[in-house]
Amino acid sequence: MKTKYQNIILATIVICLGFSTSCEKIAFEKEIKNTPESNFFYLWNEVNERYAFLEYKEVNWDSIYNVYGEKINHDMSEDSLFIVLGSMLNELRDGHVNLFSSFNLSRYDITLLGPVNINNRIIKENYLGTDYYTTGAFVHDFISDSQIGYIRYSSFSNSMITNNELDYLLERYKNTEGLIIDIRQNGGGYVDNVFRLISLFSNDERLLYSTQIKDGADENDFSLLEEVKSEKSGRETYQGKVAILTDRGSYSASSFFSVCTYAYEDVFLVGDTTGGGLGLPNGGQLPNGWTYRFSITRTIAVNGENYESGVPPNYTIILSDDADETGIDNVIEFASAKLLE
Amino acid sequence: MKNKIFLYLVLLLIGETLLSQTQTDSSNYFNNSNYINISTGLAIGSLRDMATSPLFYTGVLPTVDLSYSDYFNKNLIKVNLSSLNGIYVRTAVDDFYSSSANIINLELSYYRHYDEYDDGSLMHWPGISLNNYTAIRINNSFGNAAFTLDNISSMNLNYMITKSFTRKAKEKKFLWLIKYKRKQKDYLFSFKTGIPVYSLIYRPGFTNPGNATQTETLLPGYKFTGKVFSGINTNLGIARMLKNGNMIKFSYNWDFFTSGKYSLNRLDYSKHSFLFSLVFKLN
Repeated sequence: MKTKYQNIILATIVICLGFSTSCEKIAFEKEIKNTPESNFFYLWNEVNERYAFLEYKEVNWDSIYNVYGEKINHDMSEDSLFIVLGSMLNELRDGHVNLFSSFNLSRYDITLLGPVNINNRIIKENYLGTDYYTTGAFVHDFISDSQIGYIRYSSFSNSMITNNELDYLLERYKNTEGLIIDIRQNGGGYVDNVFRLISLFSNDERLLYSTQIKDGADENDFSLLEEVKSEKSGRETYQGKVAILTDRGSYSASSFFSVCTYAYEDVFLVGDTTGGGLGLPNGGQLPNGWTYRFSITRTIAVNGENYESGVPPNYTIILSDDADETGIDNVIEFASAKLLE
Repeated sequence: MKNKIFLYLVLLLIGETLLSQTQTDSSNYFNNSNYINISTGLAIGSLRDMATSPLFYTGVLPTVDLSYSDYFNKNLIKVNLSSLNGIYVRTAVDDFYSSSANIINLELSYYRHYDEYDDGSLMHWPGISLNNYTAIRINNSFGNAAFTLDNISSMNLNYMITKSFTRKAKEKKFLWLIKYKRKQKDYLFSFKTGIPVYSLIYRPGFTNPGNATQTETLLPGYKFTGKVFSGINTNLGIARMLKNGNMIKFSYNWDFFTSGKYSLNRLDYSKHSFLFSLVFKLN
């Protein structure tokens, strides 16, 4: 009896193991087939459920389904499918939304929403000159008879800002009447750099903004607001007023930096509304392997507003049409005058 | 398919070996003995994380495994630590995607020798175990969602059987010409299956913003969920028992997990691990 029982056990083991690889295939749901229809529906649904700004941007995503669904057919080429899906995503009017394939990248160019509010040639020729300093990603020098420190910061993604760089800037400009940080056409980068740059004029803990994460399929399903604060530190900070220069090309991390300045009385924004992009994008993959990204968080400023479409400046100043002829950057001039008031 | 053929061959060999040998009393090996087991091998697996992709990725994960076993008074306590480090890859149309994977698996098991059906060589060991699986995967194609951490703690119901047998000494001929004497060898066959009756899963919730939100939360967007009967795991091993009590062991592990069809960001994975082990008797 015992031998029979043992044989049954051994036979069961052999059979179970033999079929183990098949078992997992039964338990795993089959992969979605790679067809133009499935890729379209998958992407549409991902945006429908997870994108953070459908309601804010008043996008009727259901009607988008109908419009772009009609353009999908089973025999369309990869190129055609990419164009349809990319165009569908561009209906979101969001610089943080992209579709990536090995042969193309879809994007929505937010900088085209406003004028380029900077002329780099004028800044080099008439403000920085030839003997300006380059400290890390900062290009800087004295302007306005050395009363103002001018710091050009063109990207948050060049490198991580170091304490040494900040200490140097602070030491060099500590006796000036005011500081200009120029982030016009700065398309963003590492959010960490936002907080490092803020530490140039902030060493106390204060609320900078709040953030929420999309956590459900409904348009209004968001996590509880979570506060983001500046760090308390013993570092010395710049004691004068600070002007931040912005335009539509100031996007993503630049908008985060801009929205943070609302928490400081001595810091003000001059220029054009930023490009926005205050939602953090995350990525995913389609059944055909293409990857995409779109925003899944939203940011609420200290005044309770959502500036996803752009952070408005305290003083709206657009670069003069005759800047080329006069060689004057009226945005810098305005900021300087305000700092010297 | 190649895996299946290999598996069937292994099973055939084991079956043939089992049927052609004589049984030995294995109880000596489990009487108040402690063993440490050092293993190395390779795991081949598949994984799909619906938080970021509907595609199954295929993994190749070199494995190192350490375990300590303490047999006393019909009880077995076992602590096992596995580390798997490798990559998951996927080709889609003409593109290639990859994700690094670092996995740590810690398991604490308790078995009790149930001797009603024993005949001295075949032993039955029902047991329970607590298991913690932590995986860190990085797929740079997914931007801020590149980093994913999965932490799964499970309580398992296990059943293990062991069977010892001896291949007797025998005169043999190599190629019908060269005579030689085949030495007697003792073997221990083991099979374990475990079912995670409840799993606590900590991984990206509805969305995964990565670490870019700058909030106080370490892993924003992560959520705990529970799952009853989340998969199965098995282990099939055969060990050559040496005279000094040490063993040389080959084993095959199959591990399968699903967070369920209706779970938030479904996670499915399976691993087939082939391990070579040195087992040292400590007392």
